[in-house]
Amino acid sequence: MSESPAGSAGALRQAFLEGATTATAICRDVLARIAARNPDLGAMLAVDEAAVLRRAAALDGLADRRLAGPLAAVPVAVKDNICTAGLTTTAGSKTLAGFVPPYSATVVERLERAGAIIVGKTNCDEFAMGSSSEHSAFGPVRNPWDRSRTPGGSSGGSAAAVAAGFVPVALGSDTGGSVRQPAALCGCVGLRPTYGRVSRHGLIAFASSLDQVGPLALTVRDAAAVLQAIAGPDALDATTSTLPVPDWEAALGGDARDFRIGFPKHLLEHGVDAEVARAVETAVQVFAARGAEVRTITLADADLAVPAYYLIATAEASSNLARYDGVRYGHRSADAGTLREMYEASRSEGFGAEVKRRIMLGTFVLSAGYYDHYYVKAQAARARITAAFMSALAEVDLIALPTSPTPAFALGERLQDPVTMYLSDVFTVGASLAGLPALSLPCGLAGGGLPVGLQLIGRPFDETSLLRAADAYERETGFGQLRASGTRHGGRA
Amino acid sequence: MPAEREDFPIARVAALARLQLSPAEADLFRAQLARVIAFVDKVAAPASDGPTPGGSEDRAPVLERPDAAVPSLEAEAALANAPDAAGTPRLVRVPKVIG
Repeated sequence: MSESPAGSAGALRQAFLEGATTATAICRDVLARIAARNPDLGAMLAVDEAAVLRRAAALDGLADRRLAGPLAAVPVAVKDNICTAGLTTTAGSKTLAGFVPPYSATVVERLERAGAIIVGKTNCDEFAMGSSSEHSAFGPVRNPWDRSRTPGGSSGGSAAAVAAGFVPVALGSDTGGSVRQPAALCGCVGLRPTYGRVSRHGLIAFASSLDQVGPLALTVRDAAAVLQAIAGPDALDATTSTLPVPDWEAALGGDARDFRIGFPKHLLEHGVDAEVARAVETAVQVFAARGAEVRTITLADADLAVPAYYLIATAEASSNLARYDGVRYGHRSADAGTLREMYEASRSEGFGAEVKRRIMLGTFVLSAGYYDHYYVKAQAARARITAAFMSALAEVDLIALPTSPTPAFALGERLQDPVTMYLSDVFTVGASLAGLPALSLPCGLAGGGLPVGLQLIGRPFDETSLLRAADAYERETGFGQLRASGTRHGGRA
Repeated sequence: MPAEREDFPIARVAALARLQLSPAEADLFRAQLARVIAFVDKVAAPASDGPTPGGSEDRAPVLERPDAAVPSLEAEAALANAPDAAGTPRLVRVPKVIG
């Protein structure tokens, strides 16, 4: 049997094309790594080994491997709130336990068309509501860098799967930071595309004006390759843009001197771990030393971002999750006499505590007497926050911030305090509210050897600048080579 | 009208959200949501000026498609996950609504 080579998605694809390995060998390695370490990490919820090996064999059987596509033989893990035909999709919720979608999400179809192999589904906070991946009905995810800590959330399973070396790339979803924050806490690259860049058809809805699907990867180049495969208009999602999709991989390889970077240093003065602040300031200095123009900027109304986000996102969630009534799919209570009792008992038994909290908060802010005071004011705050970002981005190409105010925190540490948990998102919700693309990449290690993430935020539909700047930084610093101890990326399991 | 911070209307909101809460859950959620409401209340401070929410003038062009009938899921596939499906064409069974 040929061996799977070490490294990135790009390296795996190249080895497959050159005949140095087979898709079957790659997948056997992936499956062996998952079998060995997933019981300890809880990153994967579903793996259909037979289907994975059938798909690999089909790719190996191609007469010309170059026809397999730009992600040929690349193993990909997919967050469990993204529909996969024939493979369970639970969104981390008891209410969807055993749910098998009748169709695949557009992003999944596009990955498969590009030659990728979907190896399984990743654990996440229930319905993507959380910042620690502890709010899953199927148990928490543990951080491969320190198993006593969370991987972040809600795409914590995807980040842990990449950081643990199960797969080089994974899909997550980002509503208020759910790709970027776990990427930061697990030492990966995570990209939230511009709202409208990637189809949400088949993504289980949380907050529809905010949800986006994005890649998590070991390297910026791999993240670009996955984004390339999934981006672009989709007739099944009317929010997707018809703007052209650039060739992102071809744009990489330059240096940092082309960029004007805004640094809102004032936002790091309170509530930010000192080592995180130091790592991010050092990263900004690296850009300056390599010729980028760094300007200190002010982002107005940044203190309103977390409150506005939690009002708008929960309002939308309370509406989106009204569909889980136990009638057409999902959990149905066995203990109900009337239709109304069936609705209430099914929802109460099926949803976990955080989802109930958010549904009730959203219901409250949309209810008579409170709508104008909370929801309307939150929308006004959203408009002001968006205007502040756009004003800043008229003067600079990118904004640099921490991704998370702290490194990975201990499991259980914030579970009983929702406000403290919500403040984990303080640096990520702004770009979400403004619909902007944003990327997190490793920028060093804090004390205890935990990764720190640098966040770059760009103009609408300018993922090119994000990826080019991040790629230049990654090559300059070598932080893309950081790996959690005990993990193997490729090679025999 | 701001919420009474110490008295989140948990029973009314749970009923609107179609949720049943045990007394212990109601106490816990009432306290937690009162704290959350106190935290988010800062957005309610009146802004003297600012952009209008929901402006669409700067939005990127989005995909439009013809308003035409196209094939969709068969009923069998669409109801394959139904907790209690029956009949042909397949229907879902629910508790009796009318006496």
